[in-house]
Amino acid sequence: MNKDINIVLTTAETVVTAVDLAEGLGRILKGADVQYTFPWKKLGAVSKSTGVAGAAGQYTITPGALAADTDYSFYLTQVVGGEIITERITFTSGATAPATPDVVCDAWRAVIAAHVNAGRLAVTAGGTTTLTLVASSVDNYNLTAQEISLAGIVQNQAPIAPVGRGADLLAEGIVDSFPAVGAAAALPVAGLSYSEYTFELMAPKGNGGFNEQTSDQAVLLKVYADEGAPGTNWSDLDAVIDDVIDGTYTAAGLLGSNV
Amino acid sequence: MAQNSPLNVAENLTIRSLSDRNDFRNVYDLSGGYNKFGMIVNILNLPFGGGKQFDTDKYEKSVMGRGHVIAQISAQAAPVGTTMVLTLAPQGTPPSAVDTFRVGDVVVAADHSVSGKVIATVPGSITIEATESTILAMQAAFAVNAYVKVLGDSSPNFYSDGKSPLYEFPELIYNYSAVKRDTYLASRRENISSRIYYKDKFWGDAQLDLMVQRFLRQMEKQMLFSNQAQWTSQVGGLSDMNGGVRWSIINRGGEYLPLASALTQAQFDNFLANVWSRKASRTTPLTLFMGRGMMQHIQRTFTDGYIVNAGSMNTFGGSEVKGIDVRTYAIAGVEVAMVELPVLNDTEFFPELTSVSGLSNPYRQQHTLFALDLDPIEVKGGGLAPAIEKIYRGPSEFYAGYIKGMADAGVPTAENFKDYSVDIVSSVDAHRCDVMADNGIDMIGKFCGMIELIA
Repeated sequence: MNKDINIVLTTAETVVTAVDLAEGLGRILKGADVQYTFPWKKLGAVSKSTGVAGAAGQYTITPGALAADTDYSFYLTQVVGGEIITERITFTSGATAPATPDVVCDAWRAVIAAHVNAGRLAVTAGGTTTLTLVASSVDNYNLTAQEISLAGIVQNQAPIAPVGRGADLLAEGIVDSFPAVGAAAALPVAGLSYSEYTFELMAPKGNGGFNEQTSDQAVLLKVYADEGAPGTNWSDLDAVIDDVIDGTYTAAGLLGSNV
Repeated sequence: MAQNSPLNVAENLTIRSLSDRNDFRNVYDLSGGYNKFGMIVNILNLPFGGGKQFDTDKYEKSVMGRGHVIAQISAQAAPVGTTMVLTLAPQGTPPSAVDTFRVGDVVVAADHSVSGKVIATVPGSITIEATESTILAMQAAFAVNAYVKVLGDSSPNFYSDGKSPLYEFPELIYNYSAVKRDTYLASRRENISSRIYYKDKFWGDAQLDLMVQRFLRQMEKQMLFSNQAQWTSQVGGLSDMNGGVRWSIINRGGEYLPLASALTQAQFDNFLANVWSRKASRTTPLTLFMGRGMMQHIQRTFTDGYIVNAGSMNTFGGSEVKGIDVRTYAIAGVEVAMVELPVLNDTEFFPELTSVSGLSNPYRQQHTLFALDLDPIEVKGGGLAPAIEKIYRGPSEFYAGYIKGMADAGVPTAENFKDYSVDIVSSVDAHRCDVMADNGIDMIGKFCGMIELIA
């Protein structure tokens, strides 16, 4: 599999004309100077992924009826560092019933703090008579809770994965493949949200063709566009991609053609 | 000249000041002998050459798990005919799209009576088709928040073709060897005659041996409780600390049960089951190293269901009554041996009391339990490594040197004074001995577990 081709559009370069199809060519325009083209008939499929801010999973957990020699427990499951981790959060009352729900919540919080300090969970625990839990960041958004015994669980916020964050793209090593001559390659900007448009195409073979290969090469061309571009620049560009995907692109007599 | 006095001998101050004390030259050892764990680690490493020597910044190990392909479902699209698209929750930190499912994979969720086959994939989602089930059953089985996982492959009966490749890579884990020092330094004038003796010599001579013993005792505690770290210290600069047993269990995927209440038998059984389930098989029982408080709690609380009316021999009226001392425990195929770890019972070092009610023994650290898998670890492709590996950086684990100072210099004479030369290395009126270790342990914590009180 060939390396992906990445084109990172800066805020100024995210405009409606950044992607167009004309004269048998798909064209990605990066500012005034840089243009990447491919034969339209070599394009297999187009897909897109728009940015999502993400939301950390959030719960309220309430101890059940207070009694002696009783187990108050629930499971917390979270994806931390790529691993699915499940921890049992437990408190067992002694010979006398806990005086208030705070006693149970305090104990739960202490157990959770031990797991957090050990790096096994990434949550923030609060509350007094009830326990409030929130994943400590959207990086560890995927927090779920499940009752074992006498722990009433209410989900206040379903976990939502962040998508297209500039910082994540940077961490993945995304860098523009075609910098202008003498210029530094464009990078995603931390703090911005990007749409990712993926063009699956066969780069032409041949002498002087793609990497001097002797057969057509499957390549993913990925265009990253800043969703915060001024005015309707990004939404206009996004609409163009939608048209390409659903086949209503206005110049598209090209679709399915053999140009 | 004799003096006369009406006072008797016992009341005469002159006589009292001249009276002798009893002989207390022997110094009794009240340390109680708290080295056990270090000895066990040494024994574990004997068949493997005694320890692992390395010369790099870190001691690194490549480890591989079972390589399951599994993801959580974050969205389920409306079915199209007998197919439907599942969106998979991104994994990793930061989260990234799951891209390990392949066309041809047979997938299941919690309900194994419903399976589907992957017919298309893009990063972050898969399209599955019904196999033996209806699309309605698949909708129920592959619901949002359920786990979808690859059971195996299903290829067509005729002209089947290969699969897209999936590569497995080991995870690199590491630990540091830690430099530890201690020093004995004595001025010539400190080496005084004393009433108390050590090995038939004055007490000043004991300091060297005592320093070494202290060094080893501390090393044992570090084996258990040291946290892995590399930092730039304000005193001396870059420093490494070795990750010990507790750190390894917690940070390398072991079972960790922190408790703010007394351990119940159900929790204990679940803990053992979880630790035991981390391996398909074991050649030796799991060894539970614990403090006396935990031993008391387990034996006092968890034996009730097993030891009931054992007969007349187990009553106060019977003969050879010894009470209860259970050192092995077995349930549902899990077999454990219970060993007391004296270092946890050291109330001088661990004076902290627990606030957890219902525990007869009040010392918090005595309720710590390490469930250690002492089986050698299998190496992919063949071979074994000790469960707890002794590691050391450089040619040797220990270094020691006696540094002669002026206190060790000889006595020149008037005749040889000019040419007199002795092998002292310091002009200070003292002698010293330095000991150093550049070592630690490295432990695969995944097959082990620990319980500790946090209050």
